[in-house]
Amino acid sequence: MRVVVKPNIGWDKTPEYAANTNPLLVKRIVEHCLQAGAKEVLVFDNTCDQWQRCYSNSGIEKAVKDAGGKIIPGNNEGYYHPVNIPGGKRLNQTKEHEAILESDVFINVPVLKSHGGATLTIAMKNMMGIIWDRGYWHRNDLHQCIADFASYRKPTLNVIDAYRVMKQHGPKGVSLSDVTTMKALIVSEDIVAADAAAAKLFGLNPSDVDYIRIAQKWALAI
Amino acid sequence: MNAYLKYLRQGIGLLFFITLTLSFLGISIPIIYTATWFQFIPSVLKFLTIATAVGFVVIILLTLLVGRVYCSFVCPLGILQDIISRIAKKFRKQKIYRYSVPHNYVRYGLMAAVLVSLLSGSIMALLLLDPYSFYGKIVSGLFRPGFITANDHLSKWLESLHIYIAPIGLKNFSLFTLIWSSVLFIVIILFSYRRGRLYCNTICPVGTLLGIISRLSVFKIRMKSSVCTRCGKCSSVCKSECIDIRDQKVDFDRCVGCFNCLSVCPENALTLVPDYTRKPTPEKDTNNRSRRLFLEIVATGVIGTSIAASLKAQNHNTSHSNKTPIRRKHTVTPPGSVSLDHFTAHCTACQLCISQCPTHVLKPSIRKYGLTGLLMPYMSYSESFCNYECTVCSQICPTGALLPLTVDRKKNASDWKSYFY
Repeated sequence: MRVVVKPNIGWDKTPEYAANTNPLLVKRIVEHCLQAGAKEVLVFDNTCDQWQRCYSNSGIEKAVKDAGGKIIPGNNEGYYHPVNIPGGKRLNQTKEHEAILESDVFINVPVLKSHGGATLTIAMKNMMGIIWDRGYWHRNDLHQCIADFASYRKPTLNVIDAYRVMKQHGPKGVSLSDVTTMKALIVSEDIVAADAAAAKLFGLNPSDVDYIRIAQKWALAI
Repeated sequence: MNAYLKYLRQGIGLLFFITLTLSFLGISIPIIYTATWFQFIPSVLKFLTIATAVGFVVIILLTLLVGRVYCSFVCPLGILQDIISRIAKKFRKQKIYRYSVPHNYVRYGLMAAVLVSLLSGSIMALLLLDPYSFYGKIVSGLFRPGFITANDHLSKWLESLHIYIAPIGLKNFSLFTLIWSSVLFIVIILFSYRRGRLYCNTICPVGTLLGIISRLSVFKIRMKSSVCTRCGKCSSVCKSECIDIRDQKVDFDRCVGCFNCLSVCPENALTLVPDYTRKPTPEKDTNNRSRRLFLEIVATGVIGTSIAASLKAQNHNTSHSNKTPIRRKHTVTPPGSVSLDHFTAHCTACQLCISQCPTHVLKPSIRKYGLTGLLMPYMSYSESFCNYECTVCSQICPTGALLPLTVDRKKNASDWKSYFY
């Protein structure tokens, strides 16, 4: 079994700023996958900041290596292959990382954060790290694109890290005063339900987040 | 003992050479800070702002002890020429070196030109002639694009085998820099193909300066004429072409301290010995002549400098003031550059920051800083961005053109303010 674990490693920030998924959570998930008999556990993200600095300063590179997993780059367009999104309204085609395309199990491990453009970034928004041209989503109704992609790619499991939660100034955050400690974890096979629960935990009504509203209306939930 | 010195030179030389080469290719190596700390010109420039950058003092002391070993142990351009000569030896007809006379007018003239240029406040001459920066331009401008392209193709191919090596991505590539660097590389090949260290003993201002200092060295390579059989083996391996077999003399000014001669002499007539006695020699006359020439050139330099300095002072009124511009009329310098004046007065365009920048936002300039700032780095935002939390360029700059920044200090710098108008 080839397993891909996809945390949020978008930013060149240390773990206490909660801009990325908690490395300890990623480590434990990789360990569990290997214990359960996974042949190979791959971890990557298409980062926003310079990728090597994100991988190392987030602590995730070390956590994955310590756990026996493999951290792979996501910064080259060559790794991404075109896929069709038949049900998409604004997003009909995009390029997806081959590690996901060739995987048997895909575990989505986002961190719950505030987000300037998408209100919140949770599980559905975290999928933007497995495709190449993020800019297209931002230019063409971000919320609709997030929902469109969620109709195509459904992770085997979603594990939402809400141990430390960035309440404001997301997605990158400014200082430690943006971060609160919630010590919570949401696990679900249903990506829309997981996002809705996380929104509630954050203190918002799920319908306040456009892409959750769209996805729910489309009955994307399994 | 004698052969041991040669191996020591090869070992230390290769350590410096490999460290600097990999760094200029863009690979991050922690000992690069040590390797650049010893580079002569960068160290002098950094010393102007940071008093702990005394690598050049160590080099001067070392030269006062055993001569110009800097040229063979530390200088990457010198070691590159050794490597070229070594390869060329297999192809060229004439397999050996022969004694040649020094080109004193060119040597001292160029060094004086550098002094005049420096004292008049322009770094132009060093930008063109500093051997460390010269080497940086060759590797960063010519070999780095090739290295990145090869790496990225390899990465793509290995990816199909599920082996992942990191692609780098060629951003802010400059064709002009590639051509310029190729010209520099060809110049060095032409100089060293037949004539070993001719460049170091004719063009290089650091070589000339250390050569003058080495006249006072405690240890010098001397030939015992009583033992010497004039077999010529030493002269045939001397890349500096400074061993005169006929007169049984070593022109220690031009000796780069490679110690090849010591290891080949069958009679041990050549030795590195304390040079207490300053015997009057028939050569003294020519010595005096070159000294007089040197003094004349320096005097010209001082006069030229005062003229140039006054010109500079006149220009100063119209030059850039260091306030934050609201509309950007000026090129954006890299983080830590203090001001445009500070930056352009210290940067020798060695390309180390350009090679080491993880996001490749730095690009060598052609005319952004004027012709005197050829290949100095500027922030080219059209193809990349500056990573907010990164201070690599400011930390790594060997000349002090970029002064070390902390992450907090960088974040508070005015570069990051936005103006809406």
